[in-house]
Amino acid sequence: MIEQELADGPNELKDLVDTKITLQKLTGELPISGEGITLTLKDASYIPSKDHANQYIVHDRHIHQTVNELFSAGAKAIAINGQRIYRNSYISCIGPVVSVDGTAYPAPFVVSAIGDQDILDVSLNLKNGVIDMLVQDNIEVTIEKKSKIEMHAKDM
Amino acid sequence: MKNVFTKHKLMIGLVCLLIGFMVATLFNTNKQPDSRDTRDTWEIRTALQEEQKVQQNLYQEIAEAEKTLIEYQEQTEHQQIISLKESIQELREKAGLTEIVGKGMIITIEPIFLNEELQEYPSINAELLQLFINELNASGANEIAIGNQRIINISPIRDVNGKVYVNNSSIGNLPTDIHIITKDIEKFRDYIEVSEINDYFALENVTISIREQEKVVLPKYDGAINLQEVHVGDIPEVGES
Repeated sequence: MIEQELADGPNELKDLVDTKITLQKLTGELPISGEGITLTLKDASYIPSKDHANQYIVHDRHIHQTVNELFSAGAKAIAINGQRIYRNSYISCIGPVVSVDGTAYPAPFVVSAIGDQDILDVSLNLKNGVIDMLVQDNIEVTIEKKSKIEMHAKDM
Repeated sequence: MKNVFTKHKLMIGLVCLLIGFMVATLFNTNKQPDSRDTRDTWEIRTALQEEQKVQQNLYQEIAEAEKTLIEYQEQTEHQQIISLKESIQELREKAGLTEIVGKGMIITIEPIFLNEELQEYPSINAELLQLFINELNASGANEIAIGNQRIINISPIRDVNGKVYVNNSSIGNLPTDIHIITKDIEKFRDYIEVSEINDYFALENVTISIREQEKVVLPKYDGAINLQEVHVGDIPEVGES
């Protein structure tokens, strides 16, 4: 990358280029990767026939809560089923699928977050935290630590 | 003597056999017919068209990259610094790190009192606020600030000890102002007015009032941005081809 070459030049230029790259990482103009964790939210596989199925499936609020918990634990970037979310993203429940910025995804929902694995893991597993809440709502949750999570750049 | 002669013959025979095999294999590999292309004209044409589109996209990308390259090369160091600063400023605006003024509205979330003696002071929780922000985004809000906390790409909304925290600081008790900048105010207003969110607010004994404003000022995000552990990925941008 030409910016990288320029960065080898004088110091002021290097600082500016670094700032620019950081901002591009934040705004999603560059593809990013890093260590982090992924959560898989799955509808309950067993539904007692007397209960309504609605109590056993993943809703948008579950995803909202997971995403916000991850951000408060210092996640640097979050993607849902591979689609990175930004400040003006919206997630909504449409029947059996969850739509992220208008693109629909079926279950299972995979929330991946780039950030410090241990901090993210601990904050999710707090007593009465997000995981406890999801389990209480009959959702099957799996957490996986990944050494490399990749996210695409934003489509311009 | 006779024994040696037959051994000799046997050797020649073996070598000939080997050569024969090799020639046969060579012929076989050379003569192997190409796998038949069974696509009809239409399919080939579609495939060709797709490839051409990809090619066109690639040309375009090359042209853009070359333009940037030439710009960089032509500029002196001083100019480079200036243009870098410009693009950084643009990015800061995009990221929400600058104060921004624009046309939009202020939504106030305020308590309603039905029975002042018996009722507790109403409050909202993070879940409701998350849902509300989500609704605002779905209806086309461009920039949002809750209280004096600007919402950026990594802003969390979370309950901490019964208080709602945005960007890791409390938004305090109701009433709370939400400042919004949006392009299409009419559409936005219609969307919010019929949204289910109003019912959810009513359940918590709160209500929202919308005030349109010519000039809404959104504060800048003042937290630190640390993306040291995030690396620039090597995956190419996904282009629609």
